[in-house]
Amino acid sequence: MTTPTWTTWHGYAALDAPPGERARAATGDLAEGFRRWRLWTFLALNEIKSQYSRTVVGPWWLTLQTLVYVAGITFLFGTLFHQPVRVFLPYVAIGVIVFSLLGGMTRFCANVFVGEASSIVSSRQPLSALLLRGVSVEFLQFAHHLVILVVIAAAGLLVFNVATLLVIPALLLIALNGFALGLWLAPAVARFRDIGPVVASVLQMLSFFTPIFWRVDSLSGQKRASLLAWNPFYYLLETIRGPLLGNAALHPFVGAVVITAVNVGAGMLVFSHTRSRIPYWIS
Amino acid sequence: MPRIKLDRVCAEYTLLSVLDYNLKHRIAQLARRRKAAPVVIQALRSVDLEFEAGARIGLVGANGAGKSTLLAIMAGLLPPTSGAVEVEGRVLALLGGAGAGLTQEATGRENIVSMGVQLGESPDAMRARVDGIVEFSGLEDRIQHPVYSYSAGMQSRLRFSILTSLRPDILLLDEGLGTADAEFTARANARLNEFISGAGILVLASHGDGLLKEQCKDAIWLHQGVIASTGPVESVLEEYHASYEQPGLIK
Repeated sequence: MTTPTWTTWHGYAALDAPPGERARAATGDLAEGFRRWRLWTFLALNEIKSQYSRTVVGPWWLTLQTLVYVAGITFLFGTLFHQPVRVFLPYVAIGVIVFSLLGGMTRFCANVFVGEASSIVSSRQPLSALLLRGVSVEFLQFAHHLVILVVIAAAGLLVFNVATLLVIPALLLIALNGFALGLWLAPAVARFRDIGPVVASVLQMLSFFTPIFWRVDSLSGQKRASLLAWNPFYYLLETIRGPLLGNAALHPFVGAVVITAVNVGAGMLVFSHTRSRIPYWIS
Repeated sequence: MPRIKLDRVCAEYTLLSVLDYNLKHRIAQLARRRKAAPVVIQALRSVDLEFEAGARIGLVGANGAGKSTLLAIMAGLLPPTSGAVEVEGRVLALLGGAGAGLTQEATGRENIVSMGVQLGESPDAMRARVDGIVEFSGLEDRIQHPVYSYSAGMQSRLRFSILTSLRPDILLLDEGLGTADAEFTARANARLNEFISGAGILVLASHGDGLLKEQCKDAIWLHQGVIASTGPVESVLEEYHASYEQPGLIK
């Protein structure tokens, strides 16, 4: 027999419960979500496996698309901006791959509670586990894309030194941000469905505004460069790209930590405020 | 010991139209300082009840009386708008449409494992149970096919087989087995009897008097979100049927 896990966390707080009780129920959900890591790792692996069974190449198909995209962008913008391939290819590749992780998590977070409505109203489960499952799926897909970087590294185009280790905390920060984003964006979309399409168009804007196929230093000296400071994706991306290209700096990490703090704060606030209402909004 | 206690439980649904789910519309409303009063449906109005181990309760009442809402609240799937809910023991609920909670593109076999894992079992424990569940469900070779190819009856058979194999302390069933066939219903009833003899709590919402009389000792009649009557299943059913045959009887 398995241990009775279902008595160890209280489900939903009543809608008229005082804020303290709602916050306790919400943190109980988070604790239970993390505690059931076997649940979401299993379901995430299942999702990737089912992609394999559907198309044989499975997630590699997306990796192939990404590879073609990276090659195309490198050729086009490398020519336009007169960039040497040996420098520009790794820059673009890291940018595209990390951006697709960030974008994938954002798209997932926007739709998860609406998409999983049938499961939420029929099986008792921590809502945070749904977010953790989605973040895991995106990271598994990201792991497939890493093959592109392995090839580029084999060609000697990436820099490996002590600073490379910074990639590990950077990835943890990105994962935490994906999870925290879900805590506030998913309830928001459950309440106001038209936020979903807005998220999609914001992501498209960001794919141009984030320095993926243009270089930040090409803006230096221009006042408008400060606009970049308002793009969270830029900081998160730079925490990965900086170390791998041998120009690790402190400021992307400072920015990323500030972003994470704001994101987690907003997530906790919105999630504890809205958690009990979510089943009413989606049923 | 399993126990359910509801104390002054209310549930209100605010009816949200397509426009209410629209942020642009909401902002436009704010700008115009016009706010239509939302339509609120009171599904449950101050319901008190307590079930102890061994209770076999039937829930009766018209459509929209609050039966499904009450089950969802006891299952921990829906919070009450106000009031307190205390549930001890493992609750499993067969609620929602036939395919609720099943992954339609996955096979029946895959669904057995993933649904069990979702409900708190380990993947290995579920894999060990798969064969028994497949056998009980009677789905035979169809278990290898994706769930979207199943009829509604087959989907609810699969869900019932999964849930009851997990040995709940409290089992909540909405509309019994829905569209399952007679042969399966007989087997399911046998399993329910087995479950009840193990001192579990069964709450069964149904419009089928036969099923209620067979499975339940007591019954609760819900009328417009209020408990209109409780007692032995026969007498509650009698009162309930009399209410619409002789209108004006409801207090």
